[in-house]
Amino acid sequence: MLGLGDAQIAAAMIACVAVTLFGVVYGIVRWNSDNDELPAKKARRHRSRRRRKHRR
Amino acid sequence: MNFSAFAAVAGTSGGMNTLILGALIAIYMLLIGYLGYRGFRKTRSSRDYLLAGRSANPFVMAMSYGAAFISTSALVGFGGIAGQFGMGLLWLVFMNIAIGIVVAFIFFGRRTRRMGLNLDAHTFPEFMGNRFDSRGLKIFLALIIFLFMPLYSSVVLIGGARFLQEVMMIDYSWALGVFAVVVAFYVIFGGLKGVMYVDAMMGTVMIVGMLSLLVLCYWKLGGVVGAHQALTDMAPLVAERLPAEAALGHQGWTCMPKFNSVWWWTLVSSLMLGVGIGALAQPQLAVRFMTVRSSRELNRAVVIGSVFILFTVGSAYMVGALSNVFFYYSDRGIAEGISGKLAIEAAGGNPDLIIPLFIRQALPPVILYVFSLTLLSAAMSTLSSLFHVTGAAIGHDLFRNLSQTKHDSVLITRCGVLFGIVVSVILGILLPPGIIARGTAIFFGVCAAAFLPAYCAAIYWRGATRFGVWASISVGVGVSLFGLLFLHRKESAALGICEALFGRTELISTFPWPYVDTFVYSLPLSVLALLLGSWFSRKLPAEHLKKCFE
Repeated sequence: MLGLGDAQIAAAMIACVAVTLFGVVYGIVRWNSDNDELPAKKARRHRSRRRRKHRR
Repeated sequence: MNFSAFAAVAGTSGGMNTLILGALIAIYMLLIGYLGYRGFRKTRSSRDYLLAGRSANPFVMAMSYGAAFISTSALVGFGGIAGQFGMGLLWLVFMNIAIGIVVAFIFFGRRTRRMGLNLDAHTFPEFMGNRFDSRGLKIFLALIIFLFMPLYSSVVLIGGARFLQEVMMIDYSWALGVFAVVVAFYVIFGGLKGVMYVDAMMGTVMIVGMLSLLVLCYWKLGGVVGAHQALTDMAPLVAERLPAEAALGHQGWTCMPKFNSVWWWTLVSSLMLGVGIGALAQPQLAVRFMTVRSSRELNRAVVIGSVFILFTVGSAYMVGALSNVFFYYSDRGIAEGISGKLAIEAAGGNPDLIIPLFIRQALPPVILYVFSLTLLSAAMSTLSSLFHVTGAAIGHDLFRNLSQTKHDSVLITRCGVLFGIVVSVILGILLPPGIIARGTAIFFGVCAAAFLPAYCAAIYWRGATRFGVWASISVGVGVSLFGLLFLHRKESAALGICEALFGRTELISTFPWPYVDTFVYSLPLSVLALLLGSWFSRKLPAEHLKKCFE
């Protein structure tokens, strides 16, 4: 792959690009977010609040 | 010395015109002066001087973090090591981005910023000391920084001075003085604001320099896949031309070293884990998190930081490995006299020369000028951060706490910075380079094992106690020093204490222990000490914890 002789090296190259892309996407998605909570955690908390409200 | 190697190669080639380079450096210094002056004008309090007023722009913060993180040795030294080891070093790039940027900013940065604000901490020792409500801890951490940081600063300082000496053809003492004075100017007067403004400019130069180097390298070697394939096809040359390296585990430049071989342990334990994870515990980097206004700036900085590391260190390691293709296949008049050689052969066995030789032989002369500024930037940005954190440790943490002074003066911290610079310059003059290089290794090893578990516990574990942190730091420092003096061959043989006491270079000669980095055992032991110490000692008051974590 990519002319590389070892899958571990190809994996390293892909991992470098992937983690950079993750950093870029993460930063862009949360560009204006000032909340210290992670989005998934926040969404879970929001869902559970809605459920509790619904039950009442 | 990476710098002097580069300057020597560039100078002898006649590829660089001293006048043009001198003019470029002069313009560069003027820009530095202007940015340092801007920092000075905007510095009014200790908060400005030590934390850039807690209002740094995310671009400035990320570039400053990256430029302080990546020194000359990361670009030229490790680039040359990639010429020897091959592309296995890409795992270090991954670690640098994943741990050094993503994990650091997202998981460490936010909490450090928030907690630092709650505790009114201005420096790393103050952050830890306030978190665990211990003045002694503050003093102890400041002492570790004061004792070990100048050794590392000296390496960078000497490198920069050697570069100026060779390129500008001036006396070494003068070069050392000029280099120290320029950096001292904007660190002492501009404080962290000046340092970060200059770092942002230097970081930009580093990205441009390294990216153009990578693009030109691929262009010269016939494209991405073609260049990689040519390097892969050279694998049989290892056994033929480098039998000693092959015996140590070298299998080719696009392959990982043989599992459980000497090279595998060096790559995985020293480079990937030691350098990759060790970055999390660097005080000069941790303090950057407290310079921004909110976690929004940290989110934005993740974008810039990830791209910065990929383009700078990623380019250096790729070019280092691929230089083998150029040196071996350069039989069409590209580089007369070195055709048919491997990179390390062309460099006469000195990996520091691989990148400079490649630039001189393969790329247009204009790249030499860009690369000269890139190297100067890498050295100055790292050095200024080290000077600043050392000075802050002396002035803000040591002096104020030892003298019980409540008054927080910028002047005291400036005097501390000046004192730290003077110590580094004296070390740069007195100590031989070999000893200083060992000092750097000691500093990194000690820093990682001593600070990381305690720092992690400080921001994540309410159950961590003062005694647990003391135990963790003491065990981390003790085991690291023991490993460096008696177990890890590279350091123990150079320092000679084990040889003098026991008549051999290391206490355990059974493979792989002489090659296993001290970090591999000192970090787990430091974590264990933290856990045990915290479980069996008195917890911190709930009120204090609430203040820390609110």
